[in-house]
Amino acid sequence: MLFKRLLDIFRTKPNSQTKKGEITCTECGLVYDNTLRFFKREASECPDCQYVKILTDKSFDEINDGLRVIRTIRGETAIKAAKDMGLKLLELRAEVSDEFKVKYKKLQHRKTGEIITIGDFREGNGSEWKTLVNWTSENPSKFFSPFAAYIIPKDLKKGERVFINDVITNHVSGRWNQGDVYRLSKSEATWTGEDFYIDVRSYAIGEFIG
Amino acid sequence: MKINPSNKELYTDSGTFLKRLHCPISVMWKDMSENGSNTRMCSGCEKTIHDTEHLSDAELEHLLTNDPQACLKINLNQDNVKIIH
Repeated sequence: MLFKRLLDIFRTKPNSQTKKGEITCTECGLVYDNTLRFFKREASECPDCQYVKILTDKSFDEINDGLRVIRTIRGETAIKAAKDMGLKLLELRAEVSDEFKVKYKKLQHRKTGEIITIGDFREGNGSEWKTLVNWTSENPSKFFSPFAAYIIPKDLKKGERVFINDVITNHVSGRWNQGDVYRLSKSEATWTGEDFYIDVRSYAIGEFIG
Repeated sequence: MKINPSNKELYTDSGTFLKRLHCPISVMWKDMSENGSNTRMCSGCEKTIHDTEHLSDAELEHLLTNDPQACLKINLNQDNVKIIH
């Protein structure tokens, strides 16, 4: 059953340029080379969008620092499959806020040819480096689909603290005085009975301790 | 010093790896009690946390050589920290 489902999801597109032995995730379009190795490794998810992960029981057994891990699924196909399986979902619209940005500059060493990427205005001002790409700000967060959902374990109790390893909603995890704004991608959270209260502080990066 | 915010790895300005910051207890610096001029006591683990704002790379290396498990506090906006990716 699982193998049939995998073939359905990772089937080679008949009209695509996918070579023999390659598989394509129909959810996110990732081409995965060497089908045989894929199955021998017993991987059960698309490495990019993690679609098939919901078909395994492990999703509900994962623990992170003593907290139950809440699985996020993305894309219409994954959400439909999860519903077909009778899973309880909290569906949310996934749109990355324009607020998040990380700057970078690419430099090349004039003698060795080494290429480096820097992110701090105070770095890389030596004459031995020439600029390949000048300061550019990018939003590093991208979602391949606006559809996303958390899989809610049926025994999740109101007030239970959990770990979410792929946060759907937008929260700032840190701001740098050089203009960079970081998005919170994982967080601890508390189930309110209807939604998750995201504890931004648990994975904030404005201040590091450790 | 330099820090990579995504993996919290700390390096000297010359690129020597110092440590990877990790704390399983979610305690904020402002919630800790002062126990020295640049240190505070963590109520979660009762360890002393060192503020790196006024430490040079050499002082930091010396601190971590003597105690590799020493806990540090680094603010993204302090002047002696560069951000790397």
